[in-house]
Amino acid sequence: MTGVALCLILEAGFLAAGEGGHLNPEAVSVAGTVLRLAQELHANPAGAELTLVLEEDGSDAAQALRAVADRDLIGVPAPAGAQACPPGSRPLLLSLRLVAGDLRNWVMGDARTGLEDVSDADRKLREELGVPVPRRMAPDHITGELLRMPPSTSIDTLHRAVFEADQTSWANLAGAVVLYTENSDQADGLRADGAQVLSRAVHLTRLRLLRDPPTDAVPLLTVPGMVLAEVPATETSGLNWRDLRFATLR
Amino acid sequence: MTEALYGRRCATHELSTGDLARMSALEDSFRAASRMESSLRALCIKTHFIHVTDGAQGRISQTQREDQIAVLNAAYAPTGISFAYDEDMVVEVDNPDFYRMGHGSLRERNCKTLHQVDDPQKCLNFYTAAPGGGLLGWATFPYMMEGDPAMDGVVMLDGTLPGGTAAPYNLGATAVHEVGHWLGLYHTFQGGCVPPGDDVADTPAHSGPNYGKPSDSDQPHNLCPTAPAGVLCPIHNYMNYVDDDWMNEFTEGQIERIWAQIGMFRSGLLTADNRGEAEAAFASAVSW
Repeated sequence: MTGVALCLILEAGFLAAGEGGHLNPEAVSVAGTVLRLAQELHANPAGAELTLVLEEDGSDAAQALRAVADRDLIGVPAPAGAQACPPGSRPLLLSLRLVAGDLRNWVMGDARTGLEDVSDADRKLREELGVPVPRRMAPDHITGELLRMPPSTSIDTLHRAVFEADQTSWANLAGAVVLYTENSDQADGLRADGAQVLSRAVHLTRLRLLRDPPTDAVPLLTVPGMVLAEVPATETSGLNWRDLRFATLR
Repeated sequence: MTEALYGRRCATHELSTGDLARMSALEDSFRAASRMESSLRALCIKTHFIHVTDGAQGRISQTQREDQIAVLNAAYAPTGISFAYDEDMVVEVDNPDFYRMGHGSLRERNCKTLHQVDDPQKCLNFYTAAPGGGLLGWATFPYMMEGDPAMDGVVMLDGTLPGGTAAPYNLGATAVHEVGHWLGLYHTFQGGCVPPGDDVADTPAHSGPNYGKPSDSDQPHNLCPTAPAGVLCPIHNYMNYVDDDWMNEFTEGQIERIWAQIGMFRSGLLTADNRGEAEAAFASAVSW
């Protein structure tokens, strides 16, 4: 077989986009998605190959990602990522800015506003590789589990959870860390470690943080002055999960 | 007869690739070298249902199978392709682990290796299961068959068959979509706005999937800015992600691509048995 060999290079700046030098959870999510896809391709002789290279610059963000994904990453000093790619593979740089030269560039956000357009990384990479794309239901129809994490939960634990499962995300609502996952194995593990179930089957697209939830809302968590609730699809007040995803509200 | 239908084949050793740019060039040269008479395009694909279950969960009725074949036949009628199955060939595999196989998982490989019903070069292996994670289904591409025949076929969430529980995806159109991949089609939003997109000229590029029932009056939706004026986003195409009752078309370009992909990678389907009357018509129309 002579399938596509793609080498995805994580630019050091990409990891800390918009986060004041800290590791951006969106970057962790993308890295986890890419590594799972690479492992899947490796296990199935369909001809396509994917390698992930981390351009390290000694930053806190790069070190934090290493702590989560150490054994799975090839690390090279920035900006030599392309040189670490396997022979014959096509380098694709995941970065915040357009880069001149032969390197193909996937620009996802900028240093000021953070990462944008990171959704569907799995699908987009599969399309680039020409391998099958499993079809998912529309987001409105998908449910997952909503957990309240124990107060002692560290940022490393959250990074690891985001890295390990597609679609996992969290929000810190006035000190209460709430985590959404569609992976039942992950939910089982987190519950065993002390996480509290807020909902076994919540529609993420209907989750909102509001001051005055409507009467037909299902309240899931109360924080000072606000209620996190599952609301009818027509409700538009308050903040939705897209606003809350990986955010810390004080 | 394959060679007669398509003319002389390209070098097959070059064809096992998913590389979009190379695929496009190979398809162009294949079309140029072959004689693809549209009037002679006819094919009936034998379909083998393999229902993976967990006890009673996942069981599919004969009526559902018949309805699924009817939906496939209605959708593919413009292509000249039809589907048929024999109730005697339906297999039920009671295995709780296989029932929850994920895409690309070891469970999927083990299940298919053990239970593939028939030679994938000559038929469609149609699996049903409950993969979870909001997955509706997936398919292998034609170019993958030569290198990994054991994995060939489509896997469908059991609730997507007509009468199933996966509304609004329970009218059988998910199978039309996945069989489209199995016959070589990409999503209409493949690659977003970056050429070559889905490599089909008459499906305008759009930036990502459309879901639900996007309104005809709200066109052009997420059509790419490079689209000429008046062009519409393909919100009713089977290879988009809209609800089952919103899908109703393949374009001429997609039909062309399906037949080119069959000629390049699935020529084993073109047996006299599968081609039936079309084979006889072809034989009488061509002087040897």
